[in-house]
Amino acid sequence: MGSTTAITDAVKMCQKNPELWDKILDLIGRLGWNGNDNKGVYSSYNIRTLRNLYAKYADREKDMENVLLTACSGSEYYHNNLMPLAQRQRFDYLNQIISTRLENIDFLTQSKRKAKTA
Amino acid sequence: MSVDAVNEEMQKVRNIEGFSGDAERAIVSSLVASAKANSRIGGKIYLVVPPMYIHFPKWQRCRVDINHASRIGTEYNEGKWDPVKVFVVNGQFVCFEGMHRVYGTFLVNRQGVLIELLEISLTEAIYLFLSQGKTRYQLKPTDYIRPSLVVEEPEYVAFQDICHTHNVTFLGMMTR
Repeated sequence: MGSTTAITDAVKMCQKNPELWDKILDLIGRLGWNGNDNKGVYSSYNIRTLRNLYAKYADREKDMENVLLTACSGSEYYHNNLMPLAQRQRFDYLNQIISTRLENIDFLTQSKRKAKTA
Repeated sequence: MSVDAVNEEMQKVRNIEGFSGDAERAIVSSLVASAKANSRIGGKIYLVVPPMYIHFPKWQRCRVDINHASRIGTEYNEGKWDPVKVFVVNGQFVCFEGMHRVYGTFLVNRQGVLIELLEISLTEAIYLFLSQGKTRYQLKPTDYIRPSLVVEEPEYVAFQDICHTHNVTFLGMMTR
């Protein structure tokens, strides 16, 4: 599928939390970012970005993954939207998408509950 | 801890042991003469001296990391640590490289530390210190992978296994 260069980050993760490394590789695979030989898909830029997103959304991991899979999938998406960005920008970019979508989901859920109780 | 404080601490021990002033110069001179005659191996001069014999120069670092030095002292391993590099100025052994090794062995009261005596002046020592890292190969993260996999370090094994599960390769990957 690809080649990783994030050795130091990955080994540290495997020491403290190997499940997280597993989740990150699994998510990148499902996102399909590396489908078209995009360079640096498994680089420390993306690994750190996803690690930080997992940390930020620790209580809503599945929701975060679903948002990314819905909104940010595909090698073309990665090539056009993420590849030109630096590491911090990638985090901001993806975090913006996730937080907006999660807010929308929460709003819709609350609206449905209100409608049911009314 | 500042280098001055470390030098002061070691000087107190030197004074108690009578290793200061003329006595120090005489002992150092005798050790150096003997080593030059008897301990020259491949152009290098090696000798074993108590760590308190070695002074720390003020032109190098301004602080000594006590935790780091203590760890070296308690986990001292001849195979891991190179000999400390030392040169002589005004009849005193002055540390050129290995300050933490010397202070670490001093803290745990080791009887002797292996030193390599450099026959250079103070100016030459400073220039050598400035250039020492330029041509030395620095180990990269990928250099640790294969040896760690051979001795089955758990984090490296987990790293390789998880990568293998997701069909992700890395430089240094080994077939198991």
